Amino acid sequence: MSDSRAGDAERMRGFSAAARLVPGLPQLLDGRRRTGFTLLGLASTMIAVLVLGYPRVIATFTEGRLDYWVAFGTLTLGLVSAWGLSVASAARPRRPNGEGLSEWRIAWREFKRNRLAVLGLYLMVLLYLATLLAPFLTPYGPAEMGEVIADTRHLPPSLAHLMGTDKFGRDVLTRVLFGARISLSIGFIAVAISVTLGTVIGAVAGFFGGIVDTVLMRFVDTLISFPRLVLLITVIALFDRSLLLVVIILGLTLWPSTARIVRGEVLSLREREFVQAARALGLSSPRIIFRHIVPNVLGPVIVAATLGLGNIILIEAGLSFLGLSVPPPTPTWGNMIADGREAMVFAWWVTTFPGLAIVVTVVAFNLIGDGLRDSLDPRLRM
Amino acid sequence: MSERVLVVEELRTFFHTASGLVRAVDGVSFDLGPGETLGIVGESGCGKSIACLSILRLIDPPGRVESGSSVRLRDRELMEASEDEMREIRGNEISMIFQEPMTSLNPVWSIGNQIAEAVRLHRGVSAREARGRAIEMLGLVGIPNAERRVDDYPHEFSGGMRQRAMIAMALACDPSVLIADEPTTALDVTIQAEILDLLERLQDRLGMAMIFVSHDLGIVSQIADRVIVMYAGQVVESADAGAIFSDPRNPYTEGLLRSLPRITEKLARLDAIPGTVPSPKRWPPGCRFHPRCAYTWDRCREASPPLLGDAGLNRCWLEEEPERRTGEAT
Amino acid sequence: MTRYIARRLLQAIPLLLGILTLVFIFMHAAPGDPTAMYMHPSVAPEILEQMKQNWGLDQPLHIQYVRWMKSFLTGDFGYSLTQHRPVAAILAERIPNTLLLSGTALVLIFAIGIAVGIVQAVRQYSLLDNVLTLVALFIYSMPTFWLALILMLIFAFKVYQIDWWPDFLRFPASDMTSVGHDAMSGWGRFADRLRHLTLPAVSLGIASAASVARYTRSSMLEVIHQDYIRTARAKGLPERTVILKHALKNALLPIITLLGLYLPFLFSGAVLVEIVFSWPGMGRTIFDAIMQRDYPLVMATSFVFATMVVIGNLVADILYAAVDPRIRYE
Repeated sequence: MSDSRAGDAERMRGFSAAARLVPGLPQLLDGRRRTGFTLLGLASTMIAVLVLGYPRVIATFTEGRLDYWVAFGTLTLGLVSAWGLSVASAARPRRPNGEGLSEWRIAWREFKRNRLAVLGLYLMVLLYLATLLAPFLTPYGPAEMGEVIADTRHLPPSLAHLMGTDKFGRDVLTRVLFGARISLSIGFIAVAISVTLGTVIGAVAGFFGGIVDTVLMRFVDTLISFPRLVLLITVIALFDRSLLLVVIILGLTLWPSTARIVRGEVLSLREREFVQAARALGLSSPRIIFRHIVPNVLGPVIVAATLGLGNIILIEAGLSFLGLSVPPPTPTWGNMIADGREAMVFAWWVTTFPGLAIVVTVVAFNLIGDGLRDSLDPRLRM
Repeated sequence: MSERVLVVEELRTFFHTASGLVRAVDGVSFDLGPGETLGIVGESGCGKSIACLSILRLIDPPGRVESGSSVRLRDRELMEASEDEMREIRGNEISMIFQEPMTSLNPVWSIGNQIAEAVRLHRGVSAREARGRAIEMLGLVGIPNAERRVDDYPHEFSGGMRQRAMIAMALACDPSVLIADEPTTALDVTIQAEILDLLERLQDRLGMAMIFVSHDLGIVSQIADRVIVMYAGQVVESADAGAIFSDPRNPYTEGLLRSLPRITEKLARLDAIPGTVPSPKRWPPGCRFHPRCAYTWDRCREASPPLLGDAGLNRCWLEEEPERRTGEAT
Repeated sequence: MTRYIARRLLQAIPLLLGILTLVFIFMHAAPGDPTAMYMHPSVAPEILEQMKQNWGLDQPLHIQYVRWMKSFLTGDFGYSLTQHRPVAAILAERIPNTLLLSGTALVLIFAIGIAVGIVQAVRQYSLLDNVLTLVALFIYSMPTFWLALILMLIFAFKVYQIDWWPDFLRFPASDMTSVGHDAMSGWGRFADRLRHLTLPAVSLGIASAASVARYTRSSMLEVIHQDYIRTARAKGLPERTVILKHALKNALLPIITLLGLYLPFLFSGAVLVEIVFSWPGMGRTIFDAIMQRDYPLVMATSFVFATMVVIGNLVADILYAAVDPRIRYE
């Protein structure tokens, strides 16, 4: 009796040792369900993509196109990191909740408690994965048109075309996936530019005060007085359109709101003891700004940046819709909506799906931004 | 006892928070005769403000006045009144003034408007009459140029004037009970005296009964007829104001008295009671004061004393074992 | 109050000069000679010559700047290259249309937003609150032009195919008036305009309304916990008066400042909505002008847009002062 029980235990141990190599399973067995399901989900998604898109994955080596390589890299990295993280986190003892956590760890713990924010994070990861893996996910090319003779134009959603086809018989789903590239990358770069610029200008204005502050803030007021789209249209109109131009101009015109936030934070920080102390020690101004002030305004800046991402995606979509962003045939969500506009009455799917893609993306960023604000703001935290 | 205006019995107000049950007011009883002033004294956190708000049923969730509590206004049981009936009573039969005159008045409405709205509501008079009443009340509480100041906004009043305006607002409908929750704490000493004086004069003139809450036994003994001392959500001593001052029976009351600055004793060192009020989530077992008490012996740790004595009430085992008091180390 | 407004007006002047300067810089930042901007196949050489002289485009930059400022400030925006008439005349036609659209949207934004926000705050954490929060999240994450298209698809096309759908909920898809507008009675003309206005104004306003609701909710929740709300309750005021009189007016203060912040956003949306619904306003004007490289019209329109934002901010400041007595007397 005791023998057979020992045998059972032995077998169980053997089984669980094997199972612990499956990404996510050790965490699931430990009762860490969220981490477990995330890792398991990531790994199985990657494998599913690999299996279902096998011919296209293989085509990476023959096609030699950059986006295929990027997708291939993502796939490999996804698999490796799912497995690696799983093993690494299973080896590490579980951290007891509470005591002795750094400010950022507390913020992360708070963030994880906010279900909507976590949902937003998952959505965002999914969106980026879909964008990076786009070539493997769909059998069609983004510019691939339908058969000339067979009527493949404006096909309603079906199994072959989950989101239907457009006026040239192109697969809408494929174009939505490829359009995400523009939206998501323009958003990131433009936000990076504007946040950096805004942080530096806001910190300088707030730290030095006086005439520097007055001049910079009057300039900010002036820029903010222009409706963003009008400002963008006016500037873009002066130049020839290109992806680079749009990114730079978005970045250069959207910094004032960040600058205002940072300036406000710096003004209150400036009076605090540690900055006074740094001054008394005779540290140079740039040093104080970058070593002591910037890290402290990072929280509000991160929040502004995340919410700004959603905003910039909406603006870029607007510009695309007006035909002022990246020129066709490159698909962007905005120009797809504009394309489908004339056929809207009988082919609703052409305008609807890219719009939904925008909504989901912006919702994701807004959820994350709200979650970050709640978790990074010590005034809201108890 | 003659007829009582307000009788509070076994008042319990608990806060049902996510992190546990907070027994803020835990079985408080007292009563109030017409024209009488009852002082309630205790350190902050002892539950006196919550007790006052509970009388008017102004406790917000997660707080709740527990069943079994009873508050009777003359013969009406307020704990069973409907919300509409309670509204009739608030500001009309029982009024309340608060600790913070700076934030207790609405900054965006004129003083006159805020006084008049209660009058219109409870008296059903016209806007003009209500305004007249507001001016009259402002004059009564000693605001000079009341006809002009009636249209001022709270930020144009000083702290003392705002508290006067609060008093005017509270008394505008001739309430039979006025609850004053630390009305002078936030004010300068000279203004404190003025406000106390004003409250006493108004009481003589209007004849309302008053509950005067303060953490300062000195102020309470000036204005109150009777005093109850609260500690950790309970009444620990109840006596006439004079008796409390001359012959405190509860060790906690003694401590409060010792911490008062006295002009007569030149070398007197201010003795604060050691420690702080314990957390209302976990009152100490036995007598709730025992961790801070100088007389504590085994009995105090084991069982909580009831209110003992006949002339005054005292929640202390010393009433039964008075010989232990002699071992006092002063 | 007068001094406050005067100060705000004075502050607006450097802002307007800044806006003018920025527009001037845009014109000269264009690649190539600034006069090249005015070369246009449809412009007669003599008009071009006259413009050059008017604006002194052959003069040194600082003289051009001063002249150009002078002419803009006196309302001389030059000639449209494509429409062959003064830019000022074109704008005079278009500005009222944009104001009508944005004004209606503003009313919707604040009426719907504030009402929803109050309901959510009063019923915090209820099912209704959670549902509204989620709906609002989706609505303000929508691109304006897409929402406009979807609303148009549903309410200007699809509903015409549903027999039982009531006529008054079917809307036109474009323009400000119907073809037979001039022949209608006074009332009919008003109804016709309203029908044409509904979809554009809703698509323009609803995202901001969702955002106003969010701010109103949190602002109300903050105010509800203030001392003066407790005072109002202690007076016996009914809950409706407490919320709508005492809480709302205070909660509105931060919302009023939003008015100024939303204007740029609103006008951005107006550009897109006007294009989608063929609404003959400034947004469509600037877009058409850009497509046809009609630079004088582009610059003048963007200047007017920015000026309208400045004026809107002034209005918001004045409104704020009207609601908050603390500012009024500063």
